[in-house]
Amino acid sequence: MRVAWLLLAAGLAFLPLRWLGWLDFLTGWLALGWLLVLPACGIIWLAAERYLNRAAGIDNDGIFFSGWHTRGWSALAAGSVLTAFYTGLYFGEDLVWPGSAHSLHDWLQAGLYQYFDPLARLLTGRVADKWFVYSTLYSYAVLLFGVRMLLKYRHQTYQVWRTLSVIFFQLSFAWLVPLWLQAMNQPGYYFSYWWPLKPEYLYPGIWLEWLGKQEGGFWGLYFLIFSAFISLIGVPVLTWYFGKRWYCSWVCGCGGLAETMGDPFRQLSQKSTRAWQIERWTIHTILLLIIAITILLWINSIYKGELLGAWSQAAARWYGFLIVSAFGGVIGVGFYPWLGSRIWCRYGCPMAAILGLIQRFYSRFRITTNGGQCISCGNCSTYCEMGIDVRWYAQRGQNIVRASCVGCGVCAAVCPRGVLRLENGPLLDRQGTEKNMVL
Amino acid sequence: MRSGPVLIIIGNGITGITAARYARQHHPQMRIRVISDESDYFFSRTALMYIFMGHMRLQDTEPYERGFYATNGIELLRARVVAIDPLQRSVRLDSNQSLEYDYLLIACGSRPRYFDWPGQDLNGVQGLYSLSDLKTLEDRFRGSRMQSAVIVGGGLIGIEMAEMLHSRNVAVQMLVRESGYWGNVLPAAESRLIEREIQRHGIQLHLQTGLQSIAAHLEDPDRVGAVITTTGQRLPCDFVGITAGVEPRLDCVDASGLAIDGGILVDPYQRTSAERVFAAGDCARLCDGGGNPAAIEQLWYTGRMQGQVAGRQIAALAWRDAGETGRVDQIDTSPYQRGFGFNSAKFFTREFHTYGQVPPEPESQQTWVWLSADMTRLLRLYWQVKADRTVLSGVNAIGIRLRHAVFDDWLGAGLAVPTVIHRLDQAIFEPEFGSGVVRLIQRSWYASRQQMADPLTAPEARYG
Repeated sequence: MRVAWLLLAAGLAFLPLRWLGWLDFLTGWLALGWLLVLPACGIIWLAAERYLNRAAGIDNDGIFFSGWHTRGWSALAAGSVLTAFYTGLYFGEDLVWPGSAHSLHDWLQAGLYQYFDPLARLLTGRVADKWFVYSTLYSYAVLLFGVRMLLKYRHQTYQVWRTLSVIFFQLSFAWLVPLWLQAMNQPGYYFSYWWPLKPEYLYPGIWLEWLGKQEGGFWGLYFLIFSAFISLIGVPVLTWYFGKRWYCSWVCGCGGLAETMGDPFRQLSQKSTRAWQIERWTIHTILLLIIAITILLWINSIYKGELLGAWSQAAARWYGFLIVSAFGGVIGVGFYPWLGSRIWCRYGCPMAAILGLIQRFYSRFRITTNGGQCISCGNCSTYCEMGIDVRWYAQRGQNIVRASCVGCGVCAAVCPRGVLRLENGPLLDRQGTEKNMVL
Repeated sequence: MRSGPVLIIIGNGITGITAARYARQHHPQMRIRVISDESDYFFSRTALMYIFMGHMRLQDTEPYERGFYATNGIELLRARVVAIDPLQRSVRLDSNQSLEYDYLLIACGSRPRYFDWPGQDLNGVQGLYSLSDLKTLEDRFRGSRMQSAVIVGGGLIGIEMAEMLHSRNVAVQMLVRESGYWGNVLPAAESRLIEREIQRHGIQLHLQTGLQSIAAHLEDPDRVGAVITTTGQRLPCDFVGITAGVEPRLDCVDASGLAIDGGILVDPYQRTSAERVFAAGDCARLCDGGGNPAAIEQLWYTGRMQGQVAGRQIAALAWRDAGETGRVDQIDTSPYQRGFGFNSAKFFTREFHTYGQVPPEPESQQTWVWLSADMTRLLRLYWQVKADRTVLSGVNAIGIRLRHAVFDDWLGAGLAVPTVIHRLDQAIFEPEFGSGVVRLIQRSWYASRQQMADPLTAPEARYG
């Protein structure tokens, strides 16, 4: 166990030590290996020690005694580092040390990005830029903490399949495929992100770009058709059948990180009715905003900029800055250890808003509660990362049909009496009011 | 503060709060005051073990948001009721203050049973029922490490305590009076499965062994040092958990004049022998229409169900007393109906569901059990033979989640057992990507039925 901590510490110490000028002899692949492989070994070893000793069932022992899981100093420190990294990633060029010629970006370039050069050359033929580093670290986190999830939840088949799914989609469609496309001089297209989560995929500007590309014009057209099809047809149909979960906890990269790296923080989600009220306001406002911006851009494009000119462009830019970068990136991930893993998903993501509306009003998905068996213990509500008061429904014998439910299935997994089951079924009475065995 | 008749509820557990909710639902003006000596807010007693193990905090186990009570005009009072006076219609608190009521519901729950064992008052000996029991246990760990513990009584609370102590690396031994774990409720196969699970966690099980006395620590006469069992063994330990059952808590009704026999006697409408005084939950003992007392049911579920009845009955009575018969007609005033009975539990990692009549030694019933090869899952069906048909009467399941609504329907329809087996898929509540347990059970049933000569236990010719 001590060796595991040593490995983790050694891996994390790499960057600070290099900044101090030590460990010069580590270069190229050796340096990257130290930076990534050592902490991974440490973390997996620790997870194995913790979870493999345990018999069937999920081990949540001691979570509320641990500062790491309850906003203690270690969590706040980690959150600060994450937030700083995201800030540097998105806004690094603009942030300069007073009295220095170097920006935060330059500093990150020399102090972090350059270590990824060997991998970048292998996968893309170029040196590592910040987006390469970001997507690689992101995929690394999903894989590493995905292994932790598999160890912790290995007795729950639904959790195992779901975790394998998010790891797969992150490594393939959200990391390697875009890199491969870029290596072939195509746009780095993400097949697992669509409008409105990646709003530019339905912007007229990018469509013209795709259509305009001379070499491999086929790819551009393919992306265009795929983007339109998936956003307008694929998403509603899949959500009607499976609910929101097919995307939010099985495919989406944001969700993938939330379910893996964010799992230790899921109990920090805000549980109050007030938070639920706020979430409905913010998420639908952002949805209306992006719909308006998209329409504006199209109108602007059709009328050749006469009517709305710079407005639509500025609105799209501000949306990208505030909503996508600041909210989705910096706050969405940086604040995991403080506010839980699904802040963006719950309060901001317009994709989630659309999926949620379909799930709430016209989908076959529900979490069935098992008659009168609920003992109101509270495990389900405590471990719901979306802050849904699952217990409220279960103790009344009602099924859970909520717009924000991402179908992660952890509530059903931690329930000690087998009261909850995620399932797809007939639309008729899916809220379970007809055969209610409690009220 | 509401302005109508005053309802006082003694006890803020599942029974008292459910009654408060239903009374409020049917009588918006009633003034409802809930008194508890245990906690400020209703919490789920079933979750005490999870607080101890760090899965949740106390607040996480509270079924309703703290603002819920004020929003619904349910006043919460933290005090202990020492006496009730049905003639004066008042209750006296430990502060000597008297509160008047128009209607009273006693839902004060139960307490651990002690059997006058020598040494049972030593430090380090306690039950696990209330929040203060939990606090005492937590305080015990703050002082020094607990090396070893003996748990007296093989039932639901006993195994929960075993799991709690095990999570803190205490060496645990359990004394079980019966010949099998929870032998007065579970048949032998179920007991064996759970015993295996207990032992798999390194806990030593002493069957057919009871507690004789508790000996003091050699260096500290106020502290427990060892347990002497009924088989003469001396088991050194620094903690003794008393989990040999619970009994109704009756301290507030001592001199009240209410009819008491084990518990506060109530009719199927939760009415006690005193006018306008109701009782429900663990502390009550239901009598049938003819006044014959039934066994006391000390379950979360029956507490909830009795609370529902009590709340509705009290609201209806209040309207009736005010002459508002129209309002009475809007309330479902049916008496307490136990229905087919159901329960669930969790023994370490093994979940348990049960529906219907499930006696440990079936007398008028037939039974068939399926056990998985690794002895982690079990399904047992009980049936009666009526007019040349098999009629499902009960089911036990360990490690297999079953749908309550489906089995409730099947028990109501008196479904034939072969049909139950045939339709078993409909009754399974296992998560998606499940394990195919239904095929295994069905194959096993068909194989075993071929060996039976008796047509009433053989598969029926048609599947309905």
